[in-house]
Amino acid sequence: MFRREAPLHPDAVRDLDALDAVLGGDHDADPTLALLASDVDAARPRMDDAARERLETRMQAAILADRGVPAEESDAAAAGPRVDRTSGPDDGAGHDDAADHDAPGHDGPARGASDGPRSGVWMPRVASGGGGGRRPLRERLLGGGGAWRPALVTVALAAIAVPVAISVSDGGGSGATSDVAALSTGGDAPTSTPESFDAGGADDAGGATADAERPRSVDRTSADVAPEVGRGAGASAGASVVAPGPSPTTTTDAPPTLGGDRQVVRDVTQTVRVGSDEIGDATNRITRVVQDAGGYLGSSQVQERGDSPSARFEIVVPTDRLDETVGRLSRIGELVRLDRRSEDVTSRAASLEDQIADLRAERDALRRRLARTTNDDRREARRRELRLLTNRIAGLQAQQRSLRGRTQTSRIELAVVTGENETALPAPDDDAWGVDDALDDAGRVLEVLGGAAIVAGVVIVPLGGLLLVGWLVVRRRRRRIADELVDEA
Amino acid sequence: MVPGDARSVPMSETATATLAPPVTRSRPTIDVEALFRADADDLYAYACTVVRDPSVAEEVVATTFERALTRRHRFDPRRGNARAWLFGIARNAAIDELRRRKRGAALTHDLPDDRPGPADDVAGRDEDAHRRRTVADAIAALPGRDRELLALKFHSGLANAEIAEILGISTTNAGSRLHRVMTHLREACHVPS
Repeated sequence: MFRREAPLHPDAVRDLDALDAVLGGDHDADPTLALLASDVDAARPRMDDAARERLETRMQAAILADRGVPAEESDAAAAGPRVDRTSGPDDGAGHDDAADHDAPGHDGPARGASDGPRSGVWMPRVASGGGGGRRPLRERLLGGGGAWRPALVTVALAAIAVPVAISVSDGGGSGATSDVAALSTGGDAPTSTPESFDAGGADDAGGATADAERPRSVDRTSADVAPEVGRGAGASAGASVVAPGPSPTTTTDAPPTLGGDRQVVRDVTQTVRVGSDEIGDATNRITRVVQDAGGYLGSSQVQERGDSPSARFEIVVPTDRLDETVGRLSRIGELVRLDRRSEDVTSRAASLEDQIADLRAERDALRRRLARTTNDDRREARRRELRLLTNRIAGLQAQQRSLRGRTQTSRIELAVVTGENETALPAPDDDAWGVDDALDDAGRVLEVLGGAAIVAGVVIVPLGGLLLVGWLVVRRRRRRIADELVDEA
Repeated sequence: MVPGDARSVPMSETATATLAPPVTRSRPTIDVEALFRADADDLYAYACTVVRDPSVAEEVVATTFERALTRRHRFDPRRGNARAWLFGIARNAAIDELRRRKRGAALTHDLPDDRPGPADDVAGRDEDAHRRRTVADAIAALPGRDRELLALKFHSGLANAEIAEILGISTTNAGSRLHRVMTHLREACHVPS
């Protein structure tokens, strides 16, 4: 298929050039070749007058039909002489579409023109405006009336646009919606909702919906919260950060009831920037805040001097003092980062409670059976069983205590930094669509399109390769069959 | 084709004559009727050489022009001239007819009457007639594809590149096969009958 062919022998080239010269009318080029050409021409089949007349008539009829002349007139024109020939069964199934595909200069299958009845009066099978002729599938879909073309384009655009739109919208409120679902089902699915202040303002309608579903005891307005947070970021920024809606974590000093018996594990990661010489002072203030909240420092790492003084604290405070503590810690310096995570463990706690109750009941029953057992071996076996049950109950109770501890206390990972290399707090979203938003959206669209292109490439390239190979094989086979047919003629 | 015959007009001129004036930003459509006037005889000679049945050849020619009429808007001059395009359609139509004939099992048409009869024997005394009959016999004895090649070259006057395009082979291959046919015919002419 792709092998290189040897060039023609010079003698062959010379002979072919001489033949071209002879056929071009140069009688002196090669007398013997001219004689041969003359002899071959003498054997040339020639059309007789009757055949020419029939062809003329058919051609005229076909032209009339092509110009949209009514069928009656074209039929009348076609009703002229026609070669009466029976040429075997004509089921119209024997057309070699590939043969027409192979025809140079055109690209359509060969159906239609010879599919009609082949005896009697010839009917022009040229596709007229009425679409009476049988047209190739591609022509029917794309050509002719063209009604399909816009529909196909629309479908193709929709096929591209819908995945893109879905992918782009994934970054919106869908995450919050999943939170709602997790809460509504009461499952233990982690409902980690990072609420860094850069996302607070962007927590759009979806986020608001999620907040509405979340159980809370106190709804605070932004004015209540603004003074507590974002002092370093400016008052206006702080106000806009919390403006979209009350956060479940923005509570007052009253302990949160979390909507009945909900048990939620809440953690915070916080970064505050202070002056390079304020690390020590900040550490003291942090310690006081923690003590005031009734919590303690789980760990601390303070570097007061050096190139980049910093400090890290792991603070444990009662959950009902978490928000107050976070607010006070935020005022120690410039708030750079604040992430909140929460996980509803209500069902896990309930499950532990149920398991413990079941095991206790089982243990009581076992004790009763043990009291009634007289056989020493069986008594020993039941004691072992009793010890196992007790151990299991103890394990579950430890888990229960741990879980209760995690829900009653919260951890704050606080980092105090001094350098400028820490990520600055992004400007709060003002809900106005600007150039930055446009660039972000464009980037996201490009990202999605790139991903789609990669996926499409992964799928289409191998598939296309297979189709190409298949097409080449089929084409080669059909050519071979066609050559065999010609040879057999 | 007789050298110097009107049909021996160079292909490019024929193609140019049958092309409608180019339309801006759209493919030029071809004048099929003009093609019919110019090429029907060559097509018939080609088809008859391939299928070896005058009535089938007539059908092939008719089918060819019907298809050309239907698909004239698809003709792309960048992929070849109109004449080569037309012969490509003719080849496909001829193959369709051959396939139909093969499926039909029985040959129901009249045999071509180009076999030498008694009168030809008498005429065989004439050297030219004898030579022509020898050439005709040699042509008839050629395999179908070689006959087809000969028809495209001698009867239709196509260039080797056009023939290659029609047959779906390389130009070198077309030239090689054509040279082989020529050699065969030359040898046949020199073999004493």
